[in-house]
Amino acid sequence: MGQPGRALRLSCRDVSISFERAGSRVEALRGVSFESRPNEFLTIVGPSGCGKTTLLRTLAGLIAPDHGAVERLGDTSGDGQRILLVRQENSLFPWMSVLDNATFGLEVRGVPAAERRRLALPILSRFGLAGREHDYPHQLSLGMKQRVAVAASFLGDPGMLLMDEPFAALDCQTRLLLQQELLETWEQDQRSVIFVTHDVDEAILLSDRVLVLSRQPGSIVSEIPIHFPRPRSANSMLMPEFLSLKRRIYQELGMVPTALEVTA
Amino acid sequence: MKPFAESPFRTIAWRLWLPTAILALWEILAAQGLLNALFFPAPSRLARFAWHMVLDGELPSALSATFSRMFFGSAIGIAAGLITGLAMGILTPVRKSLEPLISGLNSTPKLAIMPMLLIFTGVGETARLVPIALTSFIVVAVNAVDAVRNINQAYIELAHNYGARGWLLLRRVYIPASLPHVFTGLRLALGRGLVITISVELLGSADGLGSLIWMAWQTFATERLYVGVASTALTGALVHEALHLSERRLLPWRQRAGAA
Repeated sequence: MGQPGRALRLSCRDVSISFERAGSRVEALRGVSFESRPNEFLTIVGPSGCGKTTLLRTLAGLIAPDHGAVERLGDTSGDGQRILLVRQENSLFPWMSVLDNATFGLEVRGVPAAERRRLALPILSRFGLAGREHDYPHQLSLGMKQRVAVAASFLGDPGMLLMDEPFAALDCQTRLLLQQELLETWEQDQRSVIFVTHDVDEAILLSDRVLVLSRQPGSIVSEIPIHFPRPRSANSMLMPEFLSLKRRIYQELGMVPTALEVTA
Repeated sequence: MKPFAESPFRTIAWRLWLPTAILALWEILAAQGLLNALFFPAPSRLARFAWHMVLDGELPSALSATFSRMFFGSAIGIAAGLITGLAMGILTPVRKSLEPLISGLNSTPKLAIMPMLLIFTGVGETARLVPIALTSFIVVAVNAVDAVRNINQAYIELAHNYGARGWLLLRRVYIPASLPHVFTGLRLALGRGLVITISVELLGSADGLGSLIWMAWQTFATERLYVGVASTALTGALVHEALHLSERRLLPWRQRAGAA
């Protein structure tokens, strides 16, 4: 899993997208260009409604850009070219058990049931889902559901993982737990991830690099490398370095924080 | 909002008190001679009569004839309806081609074609089975089309995201996602299937509950008439309950409101 040679990269060149909404043209993205690196955790952060989800769906190939192009670089043969998208909700099939949901990517590739189970159990238990593998989604809390979705995305072993605010709907304690579980899983099993969020803490905690997207129409206003030592944990969020990165991103977002927020 | 669970005893009590009261009133009025015994025989008398019909094998054979006719006819219709409905739901050209036919058939009373069938196939079981099969075919097909078309697109997108295609996509996504709605169709199909089975038997059949009822009317045997009608109602209720149980068994993933 996650061999550097087969990691997929995405190159986004001058992508612009607009929509027809209530009779008028709404520009969602304007001239977005960037390139991801192999096995990089790249986060796109921006205010709500800035076109983050649109950008991610474009990267996933679900939306065609009006202008510009998205290109897949690296090993684009076989399974390595697959891109998996994890969404905020509806990332699980209600009629499949936790185990079946988590291993659906393997099932599609024809992996036999016993093997799927063998591969899934360690990852499920890392996400605190041991003993829940036969439950159905309606028996799980929102946090548990997102754990299954994230576990499923790692088990699917795609060349690229796209995550669209997977933790946005969670309460802040559950969110913190899931961020740490994701952090641990990714640090042990590095792979190419493009993560979208409006949560600045989350962006810094998880990423190798942060792209800041402006308000509508979304365009990249700055690129901030996060040279924060790994392994990271919730403790990292209390370091002065972390806070200065946070201040910088807040400034880039044009929401200059009050003194209280910076020192809190 | 989930209220505290009602005890099963209370649930049953709520369901039974009114029918029991009506039967009791009826029994009392009959015993007092206030009801014409020819039209309204006392329930106790009807129960004894029904028991005799069970013992001499008349009722069981009528029931089994009706049951097997309904199930055989409906099974053909349901199988064809499921395949047609799923195909129509998934493949737009199939839907566009078949829609006019289906809605035409839907508005045709199935019983009305029976005389035509009698001309084509003669008086026999085929003429009785075709209207039953057609009835369930239409109901199941229409509901299956709706079921597929109402699948949350997010699940289809999710499946495509994993790269699911062909048979796997059908088996793991389209079919399970449409099952809850399909079950509504099955319930309607069997409900209407029973109605049409009885109607077909009333129109002309040597066996079954419908024929029993018809013969009772011809001979003015009121007791038999009552027993026949009550057996039909009971059959309908049993079919409904059986389907309800199998739905809970086959769709364990459905979120059930209220007490589990």
